[in-house]
Amino acid sequence: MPTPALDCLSVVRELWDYLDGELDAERWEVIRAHLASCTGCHDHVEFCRSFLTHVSATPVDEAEVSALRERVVVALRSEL
Amino acid sequence: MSKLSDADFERETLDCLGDVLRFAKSLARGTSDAEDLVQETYLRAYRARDTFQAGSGARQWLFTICRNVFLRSRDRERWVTAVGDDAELEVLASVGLHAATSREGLENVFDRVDFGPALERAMDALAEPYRVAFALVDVGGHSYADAATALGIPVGTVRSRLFRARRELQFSLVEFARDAGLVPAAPEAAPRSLSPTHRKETV
Repeated sequence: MPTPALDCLSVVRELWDYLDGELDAERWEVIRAHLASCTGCHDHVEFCRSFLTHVSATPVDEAEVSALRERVVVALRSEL
Repeated sequence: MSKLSDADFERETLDCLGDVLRFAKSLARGTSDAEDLVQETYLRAYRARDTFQAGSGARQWLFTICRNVFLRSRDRERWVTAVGDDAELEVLASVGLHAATSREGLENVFDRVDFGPALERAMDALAEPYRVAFALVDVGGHSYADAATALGIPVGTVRSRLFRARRELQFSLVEFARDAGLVPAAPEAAPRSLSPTHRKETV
């Protein structure tokens, strides 16, 4: 059975669910098919995907981690 | 379940400290509060070390403790109170933001610019319900359902808060890139409706 056509606002409404893997397989495929034929929505999803990649890869300051590690170890040793 | 020795506990957990700090910073505003949250997380984890199975994933275990310590420090009403989101306006704002970045040649801004501290400042600027939804899902790796359970709110509320949090962060980071001259200036101001502060919180 052919899948019903989606309008672009419906795709944007679900774009984060799509990227987060929160859609069931059937709905995911409907969105994927729309993205394959709609440049505007495809670019919008890629813009959001690059945002997620960026925020998930942002490191913390190593010097801060090192200093905090020392502080935590001192606190833990005081528990012994 | 075998008891974790003190040396095993330190070995299993301290390697994750950077990740726990990152998660704590996303939950709590300010470095000092985040560091206190990390220390409290490790102390509680140590006291509960008998419940941890070596090799079973210290990072997620510590994230769960960190999340619970943070949420218990807050008034639950903060999570369940309706904040007046308009899902359709958010969708339109997202479309508008992407259209503006396309016009300005900024589609790849997140690949081209290292935002670093600007992201922390943008997260700090989010109202707490939005920041915490973002922290749990995007930093803590929670599913929408797990975040909803932790916060005691419906999955749909997590979804709408996450949508807005991400859109506001995108807006703030694009603004930062423009202000810092890292990307071409906008030929015209983005519609005011895209501003993170356009609609006031009603928490």
